Amino acid sequence: MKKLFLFTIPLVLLASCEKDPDMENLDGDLAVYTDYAPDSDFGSFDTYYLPDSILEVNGNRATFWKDENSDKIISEIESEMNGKGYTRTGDKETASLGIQVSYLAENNRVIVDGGGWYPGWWDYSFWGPWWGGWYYPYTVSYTYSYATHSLMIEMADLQKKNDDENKNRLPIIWFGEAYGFRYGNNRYDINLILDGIDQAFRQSDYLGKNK
Amino acid sequence: MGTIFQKYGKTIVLLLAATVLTVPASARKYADDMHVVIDWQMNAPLNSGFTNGISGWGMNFEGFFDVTPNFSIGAFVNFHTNHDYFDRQAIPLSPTETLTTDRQNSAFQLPFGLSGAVNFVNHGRFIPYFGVKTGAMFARNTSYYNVYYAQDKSWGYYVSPEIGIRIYPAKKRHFGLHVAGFYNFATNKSQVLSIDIDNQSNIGFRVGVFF
Repeated sequence: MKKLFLFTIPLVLLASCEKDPDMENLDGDLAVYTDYAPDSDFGSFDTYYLPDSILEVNGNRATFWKDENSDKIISEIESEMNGKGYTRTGDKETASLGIQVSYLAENNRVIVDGGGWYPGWWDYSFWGPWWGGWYYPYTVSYTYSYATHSLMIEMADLQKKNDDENKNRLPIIWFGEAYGFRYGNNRYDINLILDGIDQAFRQSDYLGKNK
Repeated sequence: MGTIFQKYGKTIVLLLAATVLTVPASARKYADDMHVVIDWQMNAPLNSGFTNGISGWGMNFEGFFDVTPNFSIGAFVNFHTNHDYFDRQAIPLSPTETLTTDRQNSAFQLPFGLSGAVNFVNHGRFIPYFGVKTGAMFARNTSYYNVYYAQDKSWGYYVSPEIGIRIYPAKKRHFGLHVAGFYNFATNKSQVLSIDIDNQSNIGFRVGVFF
């Protein structure tokens, strides 16, 4: 019986002994994802149109972000596009590429069942030295939240106007996204986005007028 | 009913007495032949490409029965977690998709099933043996990056030869130490981000106690 009892211990331990990885190792920079239409000839484009503001995705209605921070982002994209040999134009009608930039900020709320406790939570000794701990005599849930954001760059092929094959749908031939944790410090967050834009173009070596 | 008891009453009483007296002896015999093993284990994945670091985050639990002095059968369950941090790099997710991030990979393995062992000798304080474990393995491979993760779970067939030694420090064999080296192979297949994990194998050793 005693041995049988010993053999039940692992079942309890199994539920609790998986070692979590150390997330402190992660550098905290944004993840950068890109994809493209494989049949596109990126060397056949020469000019691009880039709006001077960023679309902010806000649930039901979109707004446009235009301030010194959005200007930095637009300038970074312009610099990368120019570096690929494309030329910015102010004429949407004649541009061969259209660049649309969108930004999404989210607050993610996580609900954890089973009673709450945070590191640094109220110390039971605050209520007197005679208390030896605390508990909930009922089931509760606690929540925590974290903020994320995402900058998306889409490249549309404007040469395929009136193309019956596409049924007049605008083909997005390249997509780049920098996304991840939002620290809440504007300057730091914008710098991470700028680094993400650089990386998006760096890992897309097929882009370029002379490719 | 009364007639039967009157006729066979003496016999029934004798049989009951014999049962009461002999069952504890059988139970003791079974208890002596049954053992429980609790091990801590070190584990190193072989050529997984997902996690390569050796780790000691695992345990092995086993119950076995001595069928003969040289041969035992039993059941086992063990678990292990290996982590590996990968610096920021561009990961091709498909021919057109690329993701750049650093990541913390985590491989959790939970095999369970039946075991058998043959002792090389059956007397003395040192009992070397060769054993085989076989059964099923649950694997969960996770790649954590920024505040996100990609995960795949799989099941596979599991087999693990091991060679070890049971050490009885005292003359009465109620307690002993256990040391074993093992190799294992499982047919689990997973894909996490760009990494295909096709079969999993590990080497390692266990140190523990048995009763």
